[in-house]
Amino acid sequence: MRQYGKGNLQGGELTRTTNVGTLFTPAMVAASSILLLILIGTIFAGFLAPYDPEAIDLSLSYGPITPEHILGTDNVGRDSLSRLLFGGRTAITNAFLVVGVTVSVGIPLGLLCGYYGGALDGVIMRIWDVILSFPPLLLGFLFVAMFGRGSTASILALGIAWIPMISRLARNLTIAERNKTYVLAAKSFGFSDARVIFRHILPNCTSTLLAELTVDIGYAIIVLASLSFLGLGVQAPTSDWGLMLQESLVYVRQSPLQTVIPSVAIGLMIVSLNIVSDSIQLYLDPEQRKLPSFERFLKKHGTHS
Amino acid sequence: MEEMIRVENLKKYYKKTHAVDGVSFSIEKDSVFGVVGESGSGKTTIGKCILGLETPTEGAVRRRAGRMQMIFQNPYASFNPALSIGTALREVGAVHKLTRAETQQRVSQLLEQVSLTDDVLKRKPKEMSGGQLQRLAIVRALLLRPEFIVADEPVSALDVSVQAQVINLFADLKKEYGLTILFISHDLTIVEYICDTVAVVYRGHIVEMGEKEQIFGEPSHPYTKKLLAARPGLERIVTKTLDTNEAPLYNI
Ligand SMILES: Nc1ncnc2c1ncn2[C@@H]1O[C@H](COP(=O)(O)OP(=O)(O)O)[C@@H](O)[C@H]1O
Ligand SMILES: [Mg+2]
Repeated sequence: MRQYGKGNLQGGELTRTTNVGTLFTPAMVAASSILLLILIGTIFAGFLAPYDPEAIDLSLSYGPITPEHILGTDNVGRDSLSRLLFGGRTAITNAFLVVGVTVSVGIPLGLLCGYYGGALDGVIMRIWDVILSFPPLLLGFLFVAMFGRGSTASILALGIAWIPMISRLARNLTIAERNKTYVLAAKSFGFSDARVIFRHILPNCTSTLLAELTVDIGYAIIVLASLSFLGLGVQAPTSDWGLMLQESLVYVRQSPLQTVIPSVAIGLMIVSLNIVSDSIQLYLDPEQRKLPSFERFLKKHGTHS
Repeated sequence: MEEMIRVENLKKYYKKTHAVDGVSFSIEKDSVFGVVGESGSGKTTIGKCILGLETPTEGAVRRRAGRMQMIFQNPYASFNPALSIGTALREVGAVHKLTRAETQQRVSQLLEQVSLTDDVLKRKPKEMSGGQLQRLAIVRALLLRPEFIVADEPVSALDVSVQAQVINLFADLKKEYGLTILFISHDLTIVEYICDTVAVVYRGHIVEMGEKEQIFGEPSHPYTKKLLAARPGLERIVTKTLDTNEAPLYNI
């Protein structure tokens, strides 16, 4: 039988060697460890928290760091560590819900607009313009009127306010993909539009979308925190990072520690998410990848066996 | 002879560009019809219109072919970078209602025919060489047992040493599967080797068309003469293939 070229994949000069690089740069390892710790802490808050986060003990207000209360206590004597753990649970869950609302509406519509263009694209993009011209706060008040005070209103308001951004991103990425040869090839095999859009184009947009959404989770935590300051978010006495921060500002002179704790938690979370986001994007996008190769990484850090 | 494709006064205009401007020809069953011409002359557009991947501005394409498939110039561009080779191949089978076992059996058989093994299925396109990936594109195209194939410059993105292998593969698979091929190329040497009939296109028009022997032996249009005069010698491909110990394009 005739041989049509090298079949073995290890084979010499014919096989393109790609620098796959490593995702595990020191920054990425540090950032994801921090995120993992935060996640474990908040998921298992029920087991880890030494006290009931809502148990008030006025005899302990503005308590310092002690072996019993290792992060001190707040103005009404609640244990700060317990509130931090449970507060992370609230803050992170709500942030994910915001991103969930944004993604589930924004990405499919963005993909459809990018792929089909035309009137559909025109109409939906105009709707996004209208949403963008609405201050999120106004949306917030609108939803409070509809659903009453609480986190539902702020999550919906923020989720909707952010739809245009992610939707436009998805649309622009789709426009860049839709004229590529692999899409034409998929069509030439008679694949349906839905298959081409969601199974072929979408996977090629996920790295950029994921990077964007990772950052958005961080920002959602901040913005939800500021909404709760205006009475549009999580209501006392629920533990929540944003609420902890806002409440502590009132008595920052008496106990600056209580402002530092949620600030550090939010800050660490956001910085870590940003690092993870950048690393994911670099790793998944071969064109702009500048990560060190795994070998070089091992050599540099002296763990080569 | 039985006619498989008939193109009548085909025109395709993109805004101001007259990519294809009134071409007519017909392709006989079991033949290889070559389309030559420099870059931008409208070759790819002709191929896309025949397969219905573009809607002609004017004119008609009559097809008496069963399934039709296209092989693209750049194999890296024609595979979805996000999917593994195996996923890409299985998807084609699944969408066309082949059972998993049927698809698997056809894939294995075709892989063997193109000198590749099943372990390529786990790979991503970027992990393959150009020649390997183009052979996989051929596997993917033949999976549905097409009668007619548009091969759009299938080797021009490949190393010269690999070109001969892929061309030989085309020639062998054509016999094995009884394919009719529209072979697009700007490389006259390859066209002379593989095609039966040749159309020379220039700026969306066919300037000369005929049997291979006629076009290469006694070209009548000045543009064809110019193309022939400008082509590099045969030594290029012959020596290169001998270098790499692979089957030569020309058995001398
Ligand atoms: N989708 C398109 N939109 C606009 N112009 C196009 C499009 N496809 C091809 N063209 C133009 O049509 C002409 C012929 O293109 P093409 O058929 O790809 O030529 P060839 O395959 O011979 O290189 C070129 O000038 C090209 O720029
Ligand atoms: Mg072309």
